[in-house]
Amino acid sequence: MICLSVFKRRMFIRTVLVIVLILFGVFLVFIGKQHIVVFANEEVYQDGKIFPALTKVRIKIGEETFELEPGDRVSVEVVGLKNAFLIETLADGVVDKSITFPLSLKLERMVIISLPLVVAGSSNVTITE
Amino acid sequence: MKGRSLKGFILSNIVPIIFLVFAALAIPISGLSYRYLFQEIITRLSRDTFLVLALLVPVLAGMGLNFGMVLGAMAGQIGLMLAVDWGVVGIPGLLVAALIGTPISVLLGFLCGYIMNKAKGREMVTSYILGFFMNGAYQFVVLYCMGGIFPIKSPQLLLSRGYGVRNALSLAGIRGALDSLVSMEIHGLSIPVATFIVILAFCLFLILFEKTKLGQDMRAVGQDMVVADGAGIPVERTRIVAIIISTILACYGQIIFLQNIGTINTYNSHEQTGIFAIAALLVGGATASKANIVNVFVGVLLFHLMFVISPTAGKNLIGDAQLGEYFRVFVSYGIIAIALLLHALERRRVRIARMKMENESVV
Repeated sequence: MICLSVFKRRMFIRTVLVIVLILFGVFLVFIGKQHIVVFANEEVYQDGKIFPALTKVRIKIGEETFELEPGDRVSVEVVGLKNAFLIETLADGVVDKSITFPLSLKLERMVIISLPLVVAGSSNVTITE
Repeated sequence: MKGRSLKGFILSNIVPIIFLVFAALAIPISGLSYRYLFQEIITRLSRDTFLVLALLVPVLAGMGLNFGMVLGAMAGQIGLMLAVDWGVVGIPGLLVAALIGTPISVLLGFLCGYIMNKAKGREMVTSYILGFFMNGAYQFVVLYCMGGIFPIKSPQLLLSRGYGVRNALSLAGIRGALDSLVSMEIHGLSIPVATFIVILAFCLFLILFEKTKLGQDMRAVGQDMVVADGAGIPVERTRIVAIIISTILACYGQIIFLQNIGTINTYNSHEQTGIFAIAALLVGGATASKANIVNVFVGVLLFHLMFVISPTAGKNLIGDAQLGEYFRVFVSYGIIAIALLLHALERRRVRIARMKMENESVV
């Protein structure tokens, strides 16, 4: 009887330990997952409206800065669930509009973000090809 | 008395002394700068020490040098492959690889320990051959099952036919993850502090482990299995646990090794792991029945110093780098052969002495 309870307790501890390790592994996959984020400055059609490409746009990601002309794309690699990008539209070389764009990602390998939709404040800014 | 103790010291440390003398002669011939040598030694110490430390537990349990550590190395590589496939990078990538590698290592370590229990007294050759056998199983899994039975999505990993892993994999997202986590520069030398902290923590673990009941059981089993069995120690279980611990640590050691290198040679990286780690330990003055942490550090330092200086010294001396490399290989494997021979002679001597004692007690 005592042996059985010891066995049960041992099995319980081991099962809990395995579950905790699996959950820790899942947590690690989420926080360590590398994603490719493609920013597309291209004309896009959504909900019956056409959003033209931006004349000039600058994206700041950490230390890196990219400037995109109409039709340009840039891809960056980011890690983790939540990232923030600073998107600035330029007019005659001067910052016209500045948006901090928070991007929540799960397990996607790659997402394409439409910059015209971001600047227009659309709720769905990802595009598919 | 003094002369005798000096002679004893020289005789018991003859292998590291030979290497030290050889290094002292070869360093000036190689013409390599001391800064370069120091940097190389620091890098190689951080890269290889963990793998060599993994050998200490089986030696404590009297199972000799665990050539079966390649099983752990294979498990670590499978963990890294899956981490790369899932796109997990940095420290989380290393931890995911370790988490995947651990159950595989436990399983392989159990198998290895179980087989070693069936081949008591011939553990080293058994584990060596077991390494070859499991290499076949590993190749089957990696070459045929991955991408087929086990889903692999990343085209960077898969062969063009759609299943099987490529020969060389880049660990771009994982490379130097631990080394660069905390690093510092002293006099132009880059020191991977985080890796050394992990190694020192593991040394501490080993020291404390020897004081636990399991550690004491292992020591007792290592000294005399019959006496340990008589004292109520579960000998076979203790031996299996020793091999499981060694295999798991070899898995982690291989992950640390490969994050430093930055690429996996899928079908070869693990093959030399056991031989190099064992050679380094023996060069440090260890034997198949006695090894400690100091042997590990001295061994890795001297063995890898030879790696660095031999080709250049050979080239400068004879005009052929390959000859220096041949010499290093000859010395390294020769050391293993001599150590194993000495181990066999020592065991024979002990056996004869025991038989004599038994005969005398009967008379």
